[in-house]
Amino acid sequence: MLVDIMGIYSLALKNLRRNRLRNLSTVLRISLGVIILLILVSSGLGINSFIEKSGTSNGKILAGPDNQAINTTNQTNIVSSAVDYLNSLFGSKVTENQLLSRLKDFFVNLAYILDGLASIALLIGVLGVMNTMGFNLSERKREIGILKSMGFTKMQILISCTLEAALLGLIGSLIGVILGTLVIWIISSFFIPGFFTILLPFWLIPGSILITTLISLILGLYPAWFTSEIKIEEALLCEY
Amino acid sequence: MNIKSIITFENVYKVYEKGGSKINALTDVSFSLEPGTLSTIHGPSGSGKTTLIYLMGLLKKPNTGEIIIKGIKTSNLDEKKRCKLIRDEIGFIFRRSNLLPNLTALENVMLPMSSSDNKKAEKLLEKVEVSDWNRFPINLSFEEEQKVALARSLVNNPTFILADEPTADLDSKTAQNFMNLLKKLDNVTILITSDDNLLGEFNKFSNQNFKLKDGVLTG
Repeated sequence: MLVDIMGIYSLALKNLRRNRLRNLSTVLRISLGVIILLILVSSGLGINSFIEKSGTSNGKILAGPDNQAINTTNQTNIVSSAVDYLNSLFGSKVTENQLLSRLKDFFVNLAYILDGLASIALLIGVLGVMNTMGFNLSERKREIGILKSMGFTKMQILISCTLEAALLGLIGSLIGVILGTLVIWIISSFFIPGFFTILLPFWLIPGSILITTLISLILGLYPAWFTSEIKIEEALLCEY
Repeated sequence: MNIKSIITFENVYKVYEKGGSKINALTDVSFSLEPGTLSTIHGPSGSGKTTLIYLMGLLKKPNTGEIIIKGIKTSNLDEKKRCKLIRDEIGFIFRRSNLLPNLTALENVMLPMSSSDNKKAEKLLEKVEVSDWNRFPINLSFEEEQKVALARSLVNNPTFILADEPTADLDSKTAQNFMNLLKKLDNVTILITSDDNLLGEFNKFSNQNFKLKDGVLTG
């Protein structure tokens, strides 16, 4: 079966050479989605890690994310000053523990919001695959007819078209992961050193690539199925 | 059914329905093709030539009747068996745009192959007199495109080749060259459809001539 479809399998890769502008814009959209995903998820993970490591005990912060970098006494002073300032400003009587607890809740919710936004950003980026594949395949009806006249089955045509969609996702996610990692490194190195770390765990890189490719493949299924079902006489009558 | 025949049509009918009206594309068509022969079907536009070619190539099913290929009744074949039969036994050449534009001439020929045997494809391209096979279809002349399509149709050693007006877009000289190439092929049964205008040209080459008018075939 695999040998049988090698010709049509490699066709999926070769088809990426066509409609270059359209495919490129799709790949860039996916890349942007992956970059945003990486930054937001990493930030969320960084916040979670910060919260876990900086739990309170007797009103004192025990540890920051980087034990060597953060001075506990200085942090306690900062928190005390912040509580005093807020109490004098609003006339409230908030304790250090209460403030830290509320801040913790806020950051936990923020992490969830960031994860949600990351998912939406990725989905918006990858949704372009369906659109692009729809256009690409609608311009290839005659070719589908020719493929069928050579004895390729609907399933083989479906696999070829779906692979093309998956390849768009794969290339976009690879570019996104490379650029996203670079952006995270720049942010964590230059903009917020020593405050809280943006965590980029190793699993997030293959995970992003896998999920993006998988979603692209699933989104490519409908236009691919639609194309594979086209009647041969209609396909061969098409000018394109 | 003639036991020797490669393809047999037995009382084949094909009717198209559109907007409540029926069009009889083929009416009670029965004939058979002998191995190794070159046959032609002539008929004006709309006579049912393309429908007949599609039925013979298993790209469509008849409403009634039976098409038998190498002793296999094809009306009840499932998709997998039908596609295998097309791939192993049938080669197609259409009037135009036979090739996939994003593949080179060589890649186009190799596409239906089940192995990546470059040499076989290259030999076929040499046989049909196409040089520099790394060119894309956009850089090929009409004649070369048809020759590449011929090479592709031969790549799986088919039993028969169906050519639907293959020379319609060629001038008379290149059309004659193309027909000479077809005539040189051994062990392949060939069926060509053509417009009435080319009747004289094709009769020089063919062993059997059929006429088709309003879906009725006469020998």
